[in-house]
Amino acid sequence: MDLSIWIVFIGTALIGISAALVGTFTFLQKKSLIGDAISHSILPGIVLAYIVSGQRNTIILMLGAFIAGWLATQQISWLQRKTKLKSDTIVAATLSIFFALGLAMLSYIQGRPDDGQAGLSDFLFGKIAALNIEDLYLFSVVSFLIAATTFFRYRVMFSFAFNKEFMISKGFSLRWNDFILNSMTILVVAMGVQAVGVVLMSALLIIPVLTARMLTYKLRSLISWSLIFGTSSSLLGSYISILGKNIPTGPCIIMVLSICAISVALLVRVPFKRKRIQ
Amino acid sequence: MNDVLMILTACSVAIPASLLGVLLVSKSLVMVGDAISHAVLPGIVVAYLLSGTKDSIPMLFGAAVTGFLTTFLIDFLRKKWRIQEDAAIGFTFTFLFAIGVLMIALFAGKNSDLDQECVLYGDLETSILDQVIVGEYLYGTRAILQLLPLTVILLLVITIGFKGWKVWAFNPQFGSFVGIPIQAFQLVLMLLLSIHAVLSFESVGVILVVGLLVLPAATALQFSKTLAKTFWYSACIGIVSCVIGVFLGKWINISISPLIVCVNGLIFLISVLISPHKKSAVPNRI
Repeated sequence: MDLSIWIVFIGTALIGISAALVGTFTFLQKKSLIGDAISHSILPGIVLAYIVSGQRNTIILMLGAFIAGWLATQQISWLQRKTKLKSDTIVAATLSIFFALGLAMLSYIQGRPDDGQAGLSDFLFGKIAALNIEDLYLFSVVSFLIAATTFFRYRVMFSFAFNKEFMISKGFSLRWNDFILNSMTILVVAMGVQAVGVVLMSALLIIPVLTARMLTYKLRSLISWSLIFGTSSSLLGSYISILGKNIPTGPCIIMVLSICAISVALLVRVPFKRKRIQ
Repeated sequence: MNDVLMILTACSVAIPASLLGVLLVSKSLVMVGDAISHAVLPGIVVAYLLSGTKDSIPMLFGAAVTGFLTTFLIDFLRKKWRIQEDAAIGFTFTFLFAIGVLMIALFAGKNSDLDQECVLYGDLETSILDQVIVGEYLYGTRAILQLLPLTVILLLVITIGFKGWKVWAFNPQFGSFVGIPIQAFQLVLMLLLSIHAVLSFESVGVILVVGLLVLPAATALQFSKTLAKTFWYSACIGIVSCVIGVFLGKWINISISPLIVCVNGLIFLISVLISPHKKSAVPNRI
């Protein structure tokens, strides 16, 4: 096998690992749809970074994505403080405002004569074959950051997920932890959109942990199972999409993940287990 | 003339969307609405592959089936698999959407008129070219003629069942106690929602529909105190932002349907800033 296929495999594995790690904690916070909102909201950041820099440079695009995602989470929390709307309304409103802004900017680029935006519409559905070796270094750094944060802050994140009052009483800040979790989500999403695209990124966060949740009730094994599911299905999905001629990577990975989840559910027959988490 | 047609087409999408949005927001079903608007994609694709045209009758059927399938799946995952609601919604719509995109990529071929970008973005500018002309007279675009009956039906459903909707949204326990079929209301709403999603995807795309659904309703809720007023305000805000969006799009020459949602969003953010209802005020009454 040549180098580019290895790049694709390592890239998807890194995305799968970090998405499964972060997804576990957003799932436990019951904030899975925040991942959906963030993945739609980073579109204007990516497009703006592209307009400013004029090229498809992953570091600059990720920076733009990070800023846009951070603005979106800030808008969500601002609206939550300021209005009486329910949180799903706020999330959907933020998502659609940012996504529409991104699409408007995208159509502005496409209207310009110097259109080199061919690589940019790949962000909507993902094209894993477009990864190169510099992207891989960046991905490794980001995944390492995420893994290290989870490893060293494991106990704090555990109590953040299950017992916020306890965490506050131990002197940890709620906003700081919220910020860390949000930043991790944004980083993962910014990384993953290159492989699976804006629309389906949230599935990579949700489905592995949802599958793992049917098998176990302990946080450690929840994390390990979701890592296993996330990584293996991203690898398998990208392999299938490379084999086939015209198959987009993102939907392919999601299909593998979903089939995994459905078969696990049929195997363990969750309805007959009446235990609860915690 | 084209401007008028464009505004009319945009309004014919936005008015039913903003009315449906009020119901969704007041029952906090917005993410379910988002899920349905994504999940009609496989229905659209299957109907397109079976019938070979973008004719609306098979597509409506496909959309209705997938709309019901989505609500059923979300309910099933929550109740039988005991998955928390947000994850159930996220799983359902990404799964169905992925099936849709894969089917487009595998079966729909390169030169068919159903491609990924058109489904995602939608294109108001080309949808107005699809005009219905009978004997020299221009009756309107296809989108208007399809969405007009939906709007009329929606208005009838809302006005006739207004008290029922009120009970459904704010006190379902009482409703089932006095014998109102709460579940039926929900199903009717989901049916109308999926029909709306399939009729409007060519004009605004499957993702932007959620903006048209939620933003006018959220804006209206900043000012109104009753459900009826919320409906009126929401529809008015939808129309106003369509008009502004169309002229703005003509002026700076970018795609119109994202701009309409942007204008909607701007109005929403301004309304939050100047809203008389602050968070600490007494809770909203119906």
